[in-house]
Order: sequence, then structure tokens, then C-alpha cells
Amino acid sequence: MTIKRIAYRLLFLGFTILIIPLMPIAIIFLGVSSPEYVIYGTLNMKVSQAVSAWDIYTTFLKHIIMFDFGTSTASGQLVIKEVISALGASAKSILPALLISYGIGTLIGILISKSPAIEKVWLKSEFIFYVPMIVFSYVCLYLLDFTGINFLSNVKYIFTSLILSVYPMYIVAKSFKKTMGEISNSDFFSFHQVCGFSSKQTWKKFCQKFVVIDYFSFFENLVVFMFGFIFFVETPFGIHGIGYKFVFAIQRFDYPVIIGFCIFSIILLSVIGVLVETIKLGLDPRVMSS
Amino acid sequence: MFKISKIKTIVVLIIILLLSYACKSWLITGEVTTYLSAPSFRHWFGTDTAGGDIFLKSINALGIEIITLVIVLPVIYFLGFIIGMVLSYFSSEKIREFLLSLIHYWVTLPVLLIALFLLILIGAGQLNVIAIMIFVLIPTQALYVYNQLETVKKNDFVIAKMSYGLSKPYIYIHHLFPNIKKGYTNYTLARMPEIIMMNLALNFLGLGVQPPHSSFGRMLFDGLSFMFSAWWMWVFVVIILTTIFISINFISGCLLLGGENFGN
Repeated sequence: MTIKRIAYRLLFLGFTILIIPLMPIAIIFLGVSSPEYVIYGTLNMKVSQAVSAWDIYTTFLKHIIMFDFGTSTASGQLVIKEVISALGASAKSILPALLISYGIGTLIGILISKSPAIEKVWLKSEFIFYVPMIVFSYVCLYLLDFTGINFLSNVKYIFTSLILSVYPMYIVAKSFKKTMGEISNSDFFSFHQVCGFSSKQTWKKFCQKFVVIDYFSFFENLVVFMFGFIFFVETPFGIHGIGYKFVFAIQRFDYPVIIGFCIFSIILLSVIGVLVETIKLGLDPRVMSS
Repeated sequence: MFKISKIKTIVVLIIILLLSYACKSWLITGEVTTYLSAPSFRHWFGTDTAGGDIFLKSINALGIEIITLVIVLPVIYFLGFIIGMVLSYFSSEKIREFLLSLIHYWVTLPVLLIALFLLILIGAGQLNVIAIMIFVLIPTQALYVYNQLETVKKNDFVIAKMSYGLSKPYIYIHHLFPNIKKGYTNYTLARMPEIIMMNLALNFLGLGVQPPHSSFGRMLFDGLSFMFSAWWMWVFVVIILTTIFISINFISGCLLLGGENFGN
């Protein structure tokens, strides 16, 4: 079962790579629109000059497999180089954001599971986590300037990480509470208590790993969320990461960068997904037994 | 009583917004265009770089947001329901497993990036944004319906109904669906923030609503260049957005109640 699930994911990852170049062709032949400018910009092929669909498909596929998305029309740099350098800048916000999400999220989770009073406050203030991060970005930026803090210095990374981790923190705290509740009411927990272990010992010796495994199950979603919405923090704060470059590539109609960024991210995140799934399925005894 | 007043509140709010829109439009008719003017009696939320009234633009953007929700929510509700139902109806284990794995894989893909990729190919426009949002959101809906149906199917009453000789489609439509309906409606309504957020993101990138119409995403992007010199270009949009997200539970409560009253 475990191997089958991973095999399916790898198979679909392969399908994704095969399907992506089909999309522009399908769009042209279905008459939805004519993305010739995208194909010309990315593959340097003129669709109007009797280029067959097969030629477009194979060239596009070759480019995807080789990670060759051409050169940026704005900077003249290789797209892949630009994407990788931007990834480095974005990592400065994403990695601390992940740590903050898991750290503070767990802390909130522990507090709301232990104290009903705190849980009440939490339930009443849940709406804060739904507020889009762009709102936090704008407000933070304005307040930083108002208080005279230089937001162009490294301080910006602290704020971008905090803003990026607002919603993930909520997910982690909620999931932690759910897992705690499920495990405390499970037969597995009761069995160990009957065996003579105290609640604390049972948690420490047998149950902590389930919390870690559950954290793995949405790690991928958190990364996808941060990756997808990072332009909401990078654009206002002027961090030259993937989000910022992507926004300005769209403004400048820099199609090689746009397409390169999209395809590279989809493949990268799919690979992360497969890795996380493999680790999770390998660790989780519940999945193995089912 | 409280439940009825909730609906009344929302109706009153809509009427106030429409009246203020009409009143505001009448106030500024025939007026000389003023660029980047601060909030005043004539321009409640100030004006932008093109002389456009921010208040009117915000109401316009709110309308577009509501239209998007009104189209996307029912469509993903029905299509997700049909796909989920078909998946659960299949008795062939292999086909079901394949389709389920496909949906599971789709769910883990970066939906926003796929939407962006497709939008770049198809072209900008709010209709395209709506179509793509429907396309990327349906699989999760279908997965929810499938999981719920599989849980309900294990109940004894289903076996009892089958022993009466009722057909499988009849049981699905008349007995299984009513059991999951409330949870599914709640789940769909709970996706409102996600839809608004995606719409906001795609419009921020300039791939959604095109001028002369306005969207919150685009207004925020335009406001970025005037962050400190013309604060009114983004502050009111931020306030409206925050209010929308804070009141989302209230709105879904009203919609749920509206549905229940309609059913009664």
C-alpha cells in the first residue's frame, strides 16, 4: 500500500511533466486563446510559421526536462539562474516562517489544549488568522515607517517571516489540538495506561511521534501556501525573491521568467510532496498496518 | 429571532451600500477630475492617480468579489458533488483507486501556481479567473464528498435500504446525499476565504479584472507606490478586506440559514 501510493505519486508527477507542454497546444487548437507570444518568448518558435503541434510539444518537453526556459527578456539572464538566485532570497523568509509556524503553533496548541480559558480566547480571536497576509504586510510596512525603523535593513526578513507564518501557525495549533484529542481518546492510549504507564509517560514514550508524523502531513501544504502567496510579502517589502521577481515579470510581460517560474515551482513542490509522503509513510505505523 | 435578524442585517447592509453608491455617483457627476486628492466630503475615500473615486471603485470591487463568489461557490458545489458521487458509485476497485490517487495528487499540487500558469496561457480577465478557480477547486470538493459518502455508506440503514430492494442510485440520491448535505454545504461555504484570497492574489498580479473596472487586488497594487504619500489609496481597501474576512463566519451563517429557510 505504501509503495503503491508513492508509485502513484511518481506516476502522476511524470504525467504532470508530460501534460504541461500539452496545455498551450490544447489552448491554441481549442481556440480558447492564442498563446503564441508565450511560445515564442519561451521556446523561440513562431507558431504562425507552420510549426507542427508535435514540434512545439517535443521542444517544450525537452526544455522542461532540461530546465531550460530561455533567457529573461528584461535582464537577459538565463531564467533558471534567475529563479535559483530568487529562491535563495525567498528562503530567508520561508525557512524562518516554517520554524515560527511550527514553534509558536505548537505552543498555542499546548496552551489551548490545557486551559479552557485560553481556548475560549482562541476561539474568539480565530478570525485574525483569516485576514490575508497582504493586509498585514501593508500595515506593518506603514507602521515601521511611522516608527522610524528602517524597513530596508534586515529587519524586513523578521517581519516577512512573521507575516508569512500567521495562517500556518493557526493550522499547526489547530492540528496539534486535534491530534492531542484523537490520541488521548484512542485505544492505543488506553492500552498503555492499562499496562501501568501514567498519562505523561504514555505521551513521552509512545505518542509524541504521532504529533511529529501529523506535522509531516501538512508540511507540504504549508510550503505550497508560503510559496504561492510569497509575493504578498516580498512585493511590499522589496525583497528580490521569487514572488517579487514574478510580479515584475508579469508587469514587464517577461514570459520566459513567468513560465519558467511556474513550471519550476510546480515540479519542485511536487518533488517535495513525494519526499514528504515517502518519509511520512515510512514512519507512520498506522499507515503500515492499514 | 436572532437568526432572522442576521439575514435582515445583511439585507440592510446591502441596501446601505447600494444607496451610498448611488448617492456618491450623483455627488461627483459633472465634477472636475482631481488627482490624488485626500478624503473629503465629495470624495469620501479620496481619489487615485487617474482621478477615480476610491469609494466608488471599492464598491465596484466588492460587487465583483460577490459576483465571483456567487458563480464559483454553486458551481464547485454541484460539480464536486457529481464527481464525488460518481467516484463513490464505482464498484471497480482499481478504477476508483486510480481516480482517488489522481485527486489526492491534484490536492497536493500548488493550485495557485497552476492557476497562474493557465491564466498566462489563456489570457487575463475576470471570467478566465473564475473558470480557472472552478477548475482548480473542484477536486478537493469531490474528495470531500467521496470521503463523506464512504463513511455514511458503512451505516446499517444503508444495508437495510438495500435489503428493501431499493436501487443504488435511489439510495445515493434520497438517503446518502441528505446525510452529507449539511456538512458539505458548510465545507463549501468555509472555502469563501480561500476563493477571495485567490481572487485577490490573481488580481494583485493584474490577471483578473481589467480597467475601467476595479478589484481589491489591483487597488492594493496601485496603492503600493503611494504607500506613504497617499495612504488613502490602500488604507480603505485594507479596512474593507479585513471586515470581509472577519465577517466571513457571519456571512456563511446567513447563507446557511437562508438555505435552510428556503428548504423549509
